This record gives sequence, structure tokens and C-alpha cells, in this order.
Amino acid sequence: MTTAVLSVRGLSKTYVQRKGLLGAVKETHAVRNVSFDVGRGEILGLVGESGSGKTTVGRMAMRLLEATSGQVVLSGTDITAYSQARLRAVRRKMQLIFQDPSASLNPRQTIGRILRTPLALRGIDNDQEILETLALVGMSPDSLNRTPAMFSGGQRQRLSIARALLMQPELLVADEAVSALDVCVQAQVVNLFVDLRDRLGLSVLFIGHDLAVVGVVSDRVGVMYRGVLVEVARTADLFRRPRHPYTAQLLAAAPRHGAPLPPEPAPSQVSRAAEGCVFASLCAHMTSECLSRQPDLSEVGPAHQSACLRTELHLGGV
Amino acid sequence: MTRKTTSPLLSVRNLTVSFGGPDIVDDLSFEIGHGEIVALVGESGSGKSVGSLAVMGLLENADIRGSACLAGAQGAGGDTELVGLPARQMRALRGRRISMIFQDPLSSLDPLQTIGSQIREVLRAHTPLKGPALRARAIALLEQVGIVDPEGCLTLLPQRLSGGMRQRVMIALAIAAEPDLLFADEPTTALDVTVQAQVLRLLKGLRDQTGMAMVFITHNLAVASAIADRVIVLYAGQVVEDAPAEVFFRRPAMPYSRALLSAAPRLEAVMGGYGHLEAPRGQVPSPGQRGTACRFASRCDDVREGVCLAAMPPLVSIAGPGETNHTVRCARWEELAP
Repeated sequence: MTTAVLSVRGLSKTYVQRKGLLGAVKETHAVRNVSFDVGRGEILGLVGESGSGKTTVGRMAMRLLEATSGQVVLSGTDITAYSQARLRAVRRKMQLIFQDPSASLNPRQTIGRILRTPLALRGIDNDQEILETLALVGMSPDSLNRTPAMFSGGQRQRLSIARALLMQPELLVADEAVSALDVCVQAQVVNLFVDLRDRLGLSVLFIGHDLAVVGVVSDRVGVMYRGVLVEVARTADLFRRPRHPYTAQLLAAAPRHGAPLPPEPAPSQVSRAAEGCVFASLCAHMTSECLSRQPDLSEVGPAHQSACLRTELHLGGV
Repeated sequence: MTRKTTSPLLSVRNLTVSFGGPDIVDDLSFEIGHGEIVALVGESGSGKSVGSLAVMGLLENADIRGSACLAGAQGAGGDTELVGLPARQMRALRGRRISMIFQDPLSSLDPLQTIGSQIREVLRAHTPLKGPALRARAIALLEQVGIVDPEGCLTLLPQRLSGGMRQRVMIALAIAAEPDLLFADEPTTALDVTVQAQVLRLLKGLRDQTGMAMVFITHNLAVASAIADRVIVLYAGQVVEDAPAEVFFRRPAMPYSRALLSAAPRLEAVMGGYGHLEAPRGQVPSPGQRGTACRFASRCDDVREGVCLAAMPPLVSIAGPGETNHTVRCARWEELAP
């Protein structure tokens, strides 16, 4: 693989809360020691349930949120310690796409004005590139004279993708970018991400909670649970041969077309130990060693990493 | 699974809803059997929520025509027409005979009252229970919806509960008076996938125990597949297909149903980065632009000008002799049948 567009190493975020004036300090580990790469022209999916830390990882990767520790490398340049002024220059290279496009497009501006802003930042003063980009995201040139309210949710999401592309980014961070869309429109926007990767060689960190959506769009998928990246693998490997028990449980819980309800997973056996594996209390494969430490991600197969001590496990996939 | 008697529990006929403009819900007709779970499936703007709210008498300033007939309670006899029912009588019916849960339980729960006081309020309104019996029933209800420490839960404020727990409390409140029919509007959409599976299991289990019928409103076909006995697909304010779930997922008859099924990403078909989803082009026509022909025609790959654009196709029954009822709104269903 060529050099990574985005490389994060040991990223952690800890929130410290003090109970009362002199009370005990409580530490919440929102993200713990997360490392991954997004290759050039690659879509890396990041799935997890709410509170798993996936959005926090995305924001730290863009340096919109300060990491407690860890390193962020963008196209070979370590930007971890960049000042806000220096960040501004590199931030154009990474663009964020949000869940709700109506909240990120100014309702009082025409699409033309919204799309000319990123070009002005690059010192360009003609609409040629705008028209090309509109065509790329499947929107017609007459969109330029309208305001965001005149478009549907799917069209607005295409427009916010167009705006991001006009900054000529190397990386898109898409945080639940298709979650609010209806299924047919969602399919169109999912296809658009894949198309942009193929045509522009764009790299995407695609954050979502829907396994099927993330699976369809991503080359590789990472699974997060309680702030820990528990497994990363090529999509088909992760779905067919998951190696972390949490991934297997997540896959089993997802409803499928024409299939009966999945069975209830085994009930919890032990209470969670602070030092132990984050998933130990709910894991059917837990041993006493699992309560002693949180394992790091380690190779369990070709391009397949799992943070589970029981590397011998082969679990049921889809 | 379905415990169908000859007459349905709820019979909706030609229900049309508008808010002073074009019709949002247009000539909606369907039936819900006793103890049946029916998934009402559609994209936003299909009319699935507006239609349901109209049946429950929860729409203000709406012009509602047609009929929604609720069969009399067991042994009580006498059907009730819900459309045009005076607000007082409707309120007496809601909670007791028909009940509802929504996507966001936090907006339906009072943030300043404990779970206990909210359950007691519902029980006092709908049952003659008092004192220790009231408390015992509240605990039993929380137990029934799978809350591990029901007595502790009674003392908590809603904000102390997780999303899944809140939805369980909402379900407990909704079933407190043992209604015959529960409207569940996207009740698992905001939940994580493992919690969603738990809530789906809970709802299905409650139906099996109590024989309560359910209208399960969702945009997610996989969720519909997990819970429903029957699937009704709405498109642009109309029913376009109504089929038993096992038939629907094996051989949907309406091109729009097929489009919905192929547009939804499937776990078992994940290709890994080379995914392409079959998405119908264009978008759902808005209420003012629905025209007089088939409303899906402009997006349909199988459209035939003379046939599909000539007139609005009626909802026709396509079930063979001895088969469960299956209706579809497509002029070409027979030619297109696989």
C-alpha cells in the first residue's frame, strides 16, 4: 500500500470531572489508544454504537478536538502539534461531511454563493470548476440560483459534498453522512461516495452506525466499542470471519431481510473490571485473563487486526 | 402466527388527509387483524405517520375524510368510527383501546417526574387500581418490559435511563391498560442495533403473550422483516402493496417494493468497497405534483407509456385461491411477475 493519507497513532481522549470543589476526580476515557491508517483512494469505515467514540475519533483526526494523547499524521506530515494558524492552511485538505446538510448550508445564501466561497479561498474567480463539480455529484447547473430550502435532503447532501470537493481535499470525514436519508436517496449518496473514490482517488473516513451501509461503502472497516477500536479488517473478512466477539455480536444483532429475529445473546457473566477488556462483561468467551488487561490490536490474519486475547477464536459472521 | 378472526380489529377505508392544500394521504385502505403485527413501510412523505396520526385522532387542523373503524372490545360489541369521533370520546379510547409509542421516548416522558409517578398516573387514569395494588401493577409492568430492577426504576427520573430503557418504560406506559392495538412509530430507529434487537423481541413477545395487535411504522425493511406478519408499502400517500411478510420478502409484486428492497444495503451481500446499490432515479413526487397516473411511473424501469401513464392503477388482489390476501397497485404486475 502507498503512504497513508491519514494516520492516527495511539489517539486517546480523556475527560476529567471533579465531583464538588474538593471531591474525587473522575476520569472518563471517551477514546482509548486508537490507531489506524486511511490509504490513498481508500474508504475506511468506522462503526460503533452510540457512545463508542467514533465521532470523537473523527473530530480528533481533523484536529477539531484536542486529543489527550496520540498523534495525527496527514499525508506524511505530523499535524499533532500544529497551531491554529498553521492548521488553517492544512485543514482544506480534510473536509467534514455532517449528517444534517440543512444545518451546514446557510439557508439565506444561494447555492452559487455557497459554492463560490471555497473557490474564493483558493483564489479562483470563475464557475468552471463549480459546474464540473456539480456534474460530478449529479446536480444540474441551474442549482446555482436556488437556496438550500429548495432541495430535498439527498440533494442538499450532494451539495455539501460538492462544497467539500471544491476545497480539493485529500480526505473526507463523513460522519453519519447518509443516516438521515431515505433508503432510495441513501443508496444514491452511497454510490456517490464509491464513485468519487474511484474517479478522484479520494480517501474517506466513513463513520456510521449502520453495519450494512458502512459495509457497502468501505474497503476496510474498523469496529469501536466503548472508546476502543476492537477490530479492523477488509470488509468482507470482517463480515464473514469476525475475530472479535463484539463484532460477531453486533453482526448477529442486525436485522436482515426475510430473516427471523436474531436470538438473545448470552447474558452478562461478570461486572466490568476497570483494567480489563472493555467487552469482558458481555463476552461469552471471557476468561480470567480478560479481566486483567485491555489487549492492544494485533494481527490475527492478513490485514486483519483484533484486540482480543483469544486469538484462536473463529466466530460466526454473516 | 396471526390470530385472525373473520372481522378485522381496525378497518381503514378511503382515508384521505389534507391540511388545506393537496391531499397528503390519499384514499388509504387497509385492515389490521386481531393480534396481527403489520409493518407500515415507506419513505418520508409517504404518509405513513400522517395516516396513523389521523387514525389516532392526533392531527390538529387536518381535513380527514373516509373511515377508520375499530371493532368493539371482546364481548362488548359495537364498532367505533374513529374519524370524526369527538375529542372526549377519542381521549377515552386512547391509552385504553389504542395506544402508541414514538421514536423519541424522552419527548414523551415528563423530565421532572419519576418513572413511578408517570406509570401511576397512567394506571389511575385507565384502571381502578389504588394503593399497594397500583404499585404492584407498576412493578409488574416494568418487569414485563424487561427492566431488571423495577422497584429501583420507579424512583428514577427519565434522564437517568439509557435510550433503550426509556423506550421500555414508554412501552410499559403504552400497554398499561392492555390496549387491543398499539401504534409504534419508528420505535427502534434511535436505538443502537443490539438494543433495537432487544426492543423488537420485547414487542413481539408482548404480542404473543397478550394478543395485542400492532401497527409498526418504519422506513427500515430489515426491521419490518424482523417483526411483521404483514407488510404494507406506502408511496406518495397511497398503499402500493399489501402482502404477508414472507411473500413480500420473497417476491414483491410492485416495482417500487422491489426498488426499496434492492436500494437497502444488505449485510449478507456486503461486497467490501465495491458496493453499488440499485437506487431508483429521481425522488418521490411532492403532494402537489403527484399527477393522475401511477405515481411511481417517472422512476420505474418497467414503465409503459400507454399502460402506466394512462390512469391511476387500482389496488388489485393478486393472491391465488387459498392464499393470504395480497394486493398491489401496478398495471403491469402480471407481466412483471418473476
